[in-house]
Amino acid sequence: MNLPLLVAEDVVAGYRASLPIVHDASLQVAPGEILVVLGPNGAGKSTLVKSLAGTCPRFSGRVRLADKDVSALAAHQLAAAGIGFVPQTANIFTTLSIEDNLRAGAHLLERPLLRRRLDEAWARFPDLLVKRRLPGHALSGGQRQMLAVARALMMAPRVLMLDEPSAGLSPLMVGQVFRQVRAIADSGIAVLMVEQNVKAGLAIADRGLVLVGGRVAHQGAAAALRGDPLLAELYLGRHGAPADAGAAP
Amino acid sequence: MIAQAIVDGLLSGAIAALGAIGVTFSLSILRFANFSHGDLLGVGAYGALGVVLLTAVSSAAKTLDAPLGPFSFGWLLLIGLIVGIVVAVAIALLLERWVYRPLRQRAADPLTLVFASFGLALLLRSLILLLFGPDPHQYSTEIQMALRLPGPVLVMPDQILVFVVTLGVLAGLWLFLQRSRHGIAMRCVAENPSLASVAGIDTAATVRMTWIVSAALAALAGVLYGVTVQVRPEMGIGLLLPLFTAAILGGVGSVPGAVLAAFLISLAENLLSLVMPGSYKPLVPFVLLLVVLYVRPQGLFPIAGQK
Repeated sequence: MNLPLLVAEDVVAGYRASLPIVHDASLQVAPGEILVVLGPNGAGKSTLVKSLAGTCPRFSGRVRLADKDVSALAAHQLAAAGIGFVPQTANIFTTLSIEDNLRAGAHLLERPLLRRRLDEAWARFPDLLVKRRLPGHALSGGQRQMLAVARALMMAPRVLMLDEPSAGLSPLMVGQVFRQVRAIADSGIAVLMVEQNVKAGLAIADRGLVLVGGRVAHQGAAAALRGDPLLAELYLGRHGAPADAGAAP
Repeated sequence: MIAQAIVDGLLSGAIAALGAIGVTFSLSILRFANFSHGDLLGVGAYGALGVVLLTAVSSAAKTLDAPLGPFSFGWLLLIGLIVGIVVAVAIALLLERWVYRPLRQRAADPLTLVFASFGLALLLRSLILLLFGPDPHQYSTEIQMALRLPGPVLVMPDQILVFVVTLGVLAGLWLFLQRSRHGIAMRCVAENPSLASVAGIDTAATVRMTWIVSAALAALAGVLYGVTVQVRPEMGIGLLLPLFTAAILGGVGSVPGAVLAAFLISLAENLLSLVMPGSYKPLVPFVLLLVVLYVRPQGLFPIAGQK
């Protein structure tokens, strides 16, 4: 396995310091690897990735990107440092055109590099090229998700974090989105993905991490987790509310 | 009569449009109703006046104040315009640094920001009164010859220049918002600051840019108002409410909406003054606002896709 690129240690995060949601969570993701974060509703999965992306307060813990400590960086600085993030909802600018959404994602780049990244985005997502002048609000759910991912890739991140990319999508679109996510990881990017769709998430992931009550309950290889009875117990049993544990893409 | 009212409405609407853009920026990007925006117009106008008043003590200033062609003002006012813009931008940035940003960092309610802006508006107006006194001033006392246009419509050369400058600035602003990285950043922060930050946009820098653009437009509007009417300490508060009306009427956050609404309000004011006493003129924006809020609460020209 490659050396880990993103390393989070003992992260405590939430919206109020007196009431943290995530407790002492640690994880690491290597280049070319997909780590899927699983867990029942309310487990703190989204809070964990948001805290790593800088959009939710992190009260303690360290975050390293390669050999650099990025714990103190703000969200826009993390994006510049190489951590891309696709939120679960409101993840595109609906009032901007598709092309402007991508330009917004490459805010810091000089014009020639921006042009090159745009060309790469059009090559990866040809559907978006056809509609590049359309406003974001004119896109379907799946197209929005593709645009959100394309926007996050504009800065050529080394780590891509996705918060429930399959939420609200049809099974057909989930398959398309997940194939893209796998292809992104295969290009050498470390992917950290929160997912409710356990079966589909584990199908493309290399490793899984199970969060329960804001704490890391279990982690291991995706193949091993697929048959682990603990997961069914977590989702359907005593630990959490029933969830779409078995939904297929 | 009607043609004259329409032309007058377009001319005053152009100046109001410049001010209304700043108000719509503060509502959509800064996320509060900035009641000190009107007084930034006053700051800009008086900044320019400060330069023009140098003619009393400097012969070089007097030379520079010689009228340019058919206009009532000289190069000195153009220098004054730059000074007015610089002063207004500097004050806006200081207020952001010392008042608004600390309040935001303490998670202040938007209403707290609104009341802070009320206080700052009073402070700015009082400073103007202290420095320049309560009497109105004019940039120039030169007599201009009105141009007779078909209609018949009488227009001063200054008014034509003000209109052309305003249209040019509006076109430049449109290009800035559509093409430049700062313009796109401002639109992103207006829609979703959190997403903007994960896209790599420094929202604090974008807020500063918003103050710079808003204050510069306000100062320009103040100077142009001074060129066509006069400069008074309370000019800001007098213009503020029509500017807010234009921003809301046009659809909050919509720059073209604010511009069109400013023209609409100004035209309505001028046309209605043909059939009603002039003292009713200030009522026009509010009647229009009430009607539009009742019939179309999102404003006349909202941004498509805006939540």
